[in-house]
Amino acid sequence: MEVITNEKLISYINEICSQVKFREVHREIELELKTHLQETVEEYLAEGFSEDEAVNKAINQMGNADRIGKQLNKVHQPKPEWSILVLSLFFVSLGLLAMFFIEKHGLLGFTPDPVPILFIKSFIFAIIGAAIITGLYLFDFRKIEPYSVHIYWGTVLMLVLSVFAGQPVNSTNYLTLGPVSINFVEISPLLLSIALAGILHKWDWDKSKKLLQGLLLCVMPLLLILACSSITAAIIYTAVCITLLIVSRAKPRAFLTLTSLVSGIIVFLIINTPYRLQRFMAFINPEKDPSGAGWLNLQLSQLINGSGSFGQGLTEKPDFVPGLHTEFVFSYLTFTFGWVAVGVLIALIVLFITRMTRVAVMVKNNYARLVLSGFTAIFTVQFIWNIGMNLGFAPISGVGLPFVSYGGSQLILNAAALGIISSIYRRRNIRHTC
Amino acid sequence: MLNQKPMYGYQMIKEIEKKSNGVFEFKEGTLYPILHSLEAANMIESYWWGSEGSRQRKYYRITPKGVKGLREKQAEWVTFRSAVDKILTGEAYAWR
Repeated sequence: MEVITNEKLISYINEICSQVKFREVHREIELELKTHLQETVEEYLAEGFSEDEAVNKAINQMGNADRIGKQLNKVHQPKPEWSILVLSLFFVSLGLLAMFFIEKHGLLGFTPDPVPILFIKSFIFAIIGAAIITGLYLFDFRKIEPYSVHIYWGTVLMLVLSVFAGQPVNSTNYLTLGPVSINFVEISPLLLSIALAGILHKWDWDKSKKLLQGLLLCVMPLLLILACSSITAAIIYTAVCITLLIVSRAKPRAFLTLTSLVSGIIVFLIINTPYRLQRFMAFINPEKDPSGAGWLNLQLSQLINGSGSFGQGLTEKPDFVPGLHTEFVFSYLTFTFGWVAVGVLIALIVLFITRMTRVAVMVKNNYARLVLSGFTAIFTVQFIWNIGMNLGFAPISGVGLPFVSYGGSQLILNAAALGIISSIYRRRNIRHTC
Repeated sequence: MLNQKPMYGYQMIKEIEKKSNGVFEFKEGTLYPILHSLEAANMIESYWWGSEGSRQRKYYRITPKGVKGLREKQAEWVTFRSAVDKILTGEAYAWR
């Protein structure tokens, strides 16, 4: 059967589509209306009408193109996922507030400038972040899918460079590219999440060869991340892999293998590196070495226990703890605003994660679903780990509280993730992949 | 209709025509905005079906949320109808 080529019909359909401002749905509407009109025309042809008459009758039966187009436009008007954006804006503002007062009280561990430089920097990064979100929202994210393999190997290459050519800064290898040195390892889970989503969303996990190949694709970057000695990024990346395996319907055996392999490697690495073992022991029993390894853990718990239900207020200055503006901003917030406010903050974080999960379930395109699931995993691990280590439930590491902690590159990264989420949400009803 | 079987647009038009003995007649094009908005509200979902190269049709089927919504609407309709019935029969007595 031939798809209709009648000019009158085509211009009629184009007239309807011209009313729909969201161009990316045009193809699907076009195809749907075409098949409908074609069937009507065929029916009239079978009744003995001429082609011209049949087409006229079919169009007449369809109704006014302008009106249908306007109605369709109303349905397909893209609405951003406001709740996720508003929540993250709130987290960012909270971070800015904390930055301002931490700086005012001189809690940075170095002599404070007369101008609140951290606050201003964070503010500028927040604005850049907003621009990135808007840009990515307008961009059709599914266009990236064909380049998944390139992104994957590009990331692997950068990781290899980080391992062999990177300079260690705070024990993690930074990659120096000309004048800037970047913590590429920190970015890699996000990039790999995008790449693996594109590679694995049509993966045939039932074949043993494919299963092995898939696991290898997951494990190789992991080893490189570990070689840059970032256990944090390794754990976040592992969470991404496991989520992607589950969502792309791999057999339980696949992700069980991966989990046991990774936990084996990590336990080995913790036991084999003295400073990590020390940190871990400090987490288990901080009282054993209160002035050495356990000092930070004890200081944090003191800070948090001193807060009370409603906090000490912004005018009060807590004892000095290093990293209060970064990893331990949660402790500062607890000290300042108290348990009740922190309860509300945690509830909002849970809401944030639930909204993201909901979008992942709702989205029709399978590739987009995988990307979203990976991102949800990244955010979830970061939130849980950071809050956990502030409260003494998790070992201390370099994980910041997303959006709240100080850190320009991390904020930009999170903004990029939000932009991609918004882009996917906007196109949630489109199934076709470009 | 969709709670009985998945259907595509043209098929729905034909079915409505048949079932209502031609009482319901409307411009066929108005069906699609309705279907698309129901889909956006997750009441129904759609999928393309048809062999490659030949005619591809976009089928719609009802979702669990749609079934629930349908039940509510049906209940509303029953209350509305019985109210109208009461008024009409009451009027009929009055006229007699």
